[in-house]
Amino acid sequence: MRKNMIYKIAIPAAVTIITLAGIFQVWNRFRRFQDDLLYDFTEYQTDSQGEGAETADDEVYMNHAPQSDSSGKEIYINPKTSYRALIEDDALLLDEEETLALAASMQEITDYGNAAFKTIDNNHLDTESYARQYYQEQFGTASGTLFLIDMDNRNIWIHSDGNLYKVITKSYANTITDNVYRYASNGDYYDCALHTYEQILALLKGYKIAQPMKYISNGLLAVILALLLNYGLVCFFTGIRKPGRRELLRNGQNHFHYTQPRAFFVRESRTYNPTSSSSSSSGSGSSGGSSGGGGGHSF
Amino acid sequence: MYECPNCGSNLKFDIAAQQMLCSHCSTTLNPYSIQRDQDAGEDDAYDVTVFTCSQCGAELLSEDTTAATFCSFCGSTAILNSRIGKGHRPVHIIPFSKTKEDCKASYARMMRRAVFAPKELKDQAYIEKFRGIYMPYWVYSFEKKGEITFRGSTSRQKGDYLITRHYDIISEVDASYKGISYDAAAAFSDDLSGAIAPYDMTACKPFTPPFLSGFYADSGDVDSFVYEQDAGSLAADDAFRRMADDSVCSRYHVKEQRNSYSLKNALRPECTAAESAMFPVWFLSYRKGDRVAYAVVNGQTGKAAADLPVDRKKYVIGSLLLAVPLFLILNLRFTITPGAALILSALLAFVCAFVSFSQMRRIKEKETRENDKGYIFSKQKKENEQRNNGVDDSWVNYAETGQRKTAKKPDSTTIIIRIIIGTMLFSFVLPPILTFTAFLGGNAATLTTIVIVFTAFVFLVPLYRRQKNVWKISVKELFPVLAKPFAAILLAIVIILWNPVSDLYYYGGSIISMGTVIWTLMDIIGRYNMLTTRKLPQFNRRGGDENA
Repeated sequence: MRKNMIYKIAIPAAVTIITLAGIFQVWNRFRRFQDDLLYDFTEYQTDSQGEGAETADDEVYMNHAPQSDSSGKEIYINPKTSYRALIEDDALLLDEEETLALAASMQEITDYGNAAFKTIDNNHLDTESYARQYYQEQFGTASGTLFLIDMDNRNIWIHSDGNLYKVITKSYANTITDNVYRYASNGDYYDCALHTYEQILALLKGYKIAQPMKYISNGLLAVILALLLNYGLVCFFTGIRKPGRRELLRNGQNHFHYTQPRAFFVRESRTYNPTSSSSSSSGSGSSGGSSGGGGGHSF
Repeated sequence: MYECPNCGSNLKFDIAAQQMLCSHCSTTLNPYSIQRDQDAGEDDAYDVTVFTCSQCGAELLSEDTTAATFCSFCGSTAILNSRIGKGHRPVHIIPFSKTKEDCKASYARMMRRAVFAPKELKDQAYIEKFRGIYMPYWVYSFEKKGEITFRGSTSRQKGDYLITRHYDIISEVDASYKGISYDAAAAFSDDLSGAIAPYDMTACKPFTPPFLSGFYADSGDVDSFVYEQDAGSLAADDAFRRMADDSVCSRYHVKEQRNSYSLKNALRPECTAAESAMFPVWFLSYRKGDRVAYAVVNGQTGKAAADLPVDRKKYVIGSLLLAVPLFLILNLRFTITPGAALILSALLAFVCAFVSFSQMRRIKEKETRENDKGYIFSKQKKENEQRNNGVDDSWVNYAETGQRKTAKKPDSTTIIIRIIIGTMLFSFVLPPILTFTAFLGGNAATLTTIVIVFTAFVFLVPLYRRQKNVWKISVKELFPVLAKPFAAILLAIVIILWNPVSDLYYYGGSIISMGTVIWTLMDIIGRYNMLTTRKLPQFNRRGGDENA
């Protein structure tokens, strides 16, 4: 009876939940896709009107590609290391006071490398690609770190390069953004950025940062892997194995002799088998770029 | 019982001396020099004490009249019923050459590998229960003599045509295979008897009942034709392997011929003899509840094999100890993001589902003993006898079933065609799925890809391994087994499709999912223990209690 209930209720319920969740996800994606289409259409209309075309072009440029160094707001150059700190709040998330306070906290990072803070509210790339491009535009392959708040994709991202990437690795970038994304979710972008740079600085100074979920996940994962590994060992070492065919015949009284085989031609057959010519080409290429990377989190 | 000519005491076969030994006056005698009046009566039978287990119906034959205090097959400790009966006189016997001490040493060596085995299996008092039993075997001899003709060919491309020249290849062969043995007792499962094979047939001697003194013997209940085809294939394969590598055969691509004129068919030998024999086995059973596990040691070579269940407590402790270094290694290099944690937990749940499914199929095979030819034959024999009022036509029935099975088994070409068709169908389905997942993006795409790859794996592997009746297990049987891992996967899918901002959902989901995976892994160990133990036997012989 209970089993029947499971078949009649649980399975259809599970299928319904998955389907609904899938529809929800597809709908969300579709809405975003529709927004993008509308955006492109508006852009086209503005462009085609002639008047204001230059402004629209500029907007497109601003939205699609990171701004050049000249448009950035350089706030500090470390006299000892020549590393720079840069704040570019295009999404207008910080007020003047917050910008100054954040700049002060970023100054210490310039002892180790460049530091940049960037906010955007329009982005047709994904957050990671934008961060990578922007970083290269600003610092090339020099050592440094960038914290990006992408309001369009609702993502925060840390991108590092050079020596700093050896410390602020992808793993640590993910951990830091995991630790601070809640501030961004609550609209507290200043605290989000401040805590990010605090944690970056802590790592650069050789301190540890809190990563409780890393330990919980790794702990559970280690237990599962150990259970699986031991199961594999049990199966391998204690399973019943039969000997091979050769071993079975090894102790018998066997002999096998034969005379040299002689072949006698019987007939010839022809089968249509067209040969196909094919060509292949291979090549290799390389693309330049930074070796840096990072991690992020949606908010 | 064989009386000592000096003191009248009981003579037993002494393994070290390979002679009959009087434990009272130390007189030794050649087993062939002892003859009882009752042994001389009939050519194919000898007098023996038959012990019957009241619980499982197993029969043990003995030259000794001393009461047997436990059953080796079901582990029952009730005193076995005894009667004087007739044993079928085999043609050959290989006497025990490994003593009980040798047997215990072999067993101990094997148990060193079984770190998670229950401690009872290593207990000295338990190991003392090893019992020397002569198991009935069939020993087959095959011959192939004279001229054989088989087909070969060479091919070359000429324009758009493939020109194939066919040849008849002729050779004289002189092949003889003697001593291919298979167990003839339904009580002795094929997997265990196979695991302790082979026996050295050069030590085979003509049977005489005194060899049994001091040991037990099982009565054979499987006819010789049951394993004749298997034994013949073994001989034919060996002959083929030796001859196919010849330079002439290689030149004419003899190995690739798949028709009735193939070399393998030409070399198929004829069975010239199937003789009964008794081979020595040290036998031990471990009973827990309604399950029983066996340990066997070859009484001639000392090769050991055993059903080795796992002690859950030991397994968990061992795994937790192993988890410590794994945890440290993971922390050095591995920081998992919330989405990745969820996908990983779903992936592990898939692995568990796959292992569970595979175990279910193997349990089904093992419980029905469908691959144990001797058991299936014995079962059919009993059923036929009951149906036909004592007239046994089991060989007809068995031969028909065996032929049907052979005809159904797909060959390599069929398997390859099936895989190609499967891949083609798969490639029709794959692009729309991948387009859809690309549309979803991110974690959803990753998870869907994992689902597709695993599903393909689950379908293609059984095909590749030529497994028949892949989905033989009913949904009702599968549901309780796969419910947990699929619940974990379902949870992961829902969270990933929902894609909430907060990590709490991801981490919560992955912790629940990983917890479910651990729970499933404990179930897997439970099923492993079912696989390494057996149902209590019911031998359908006189004395068996069906309700035991």
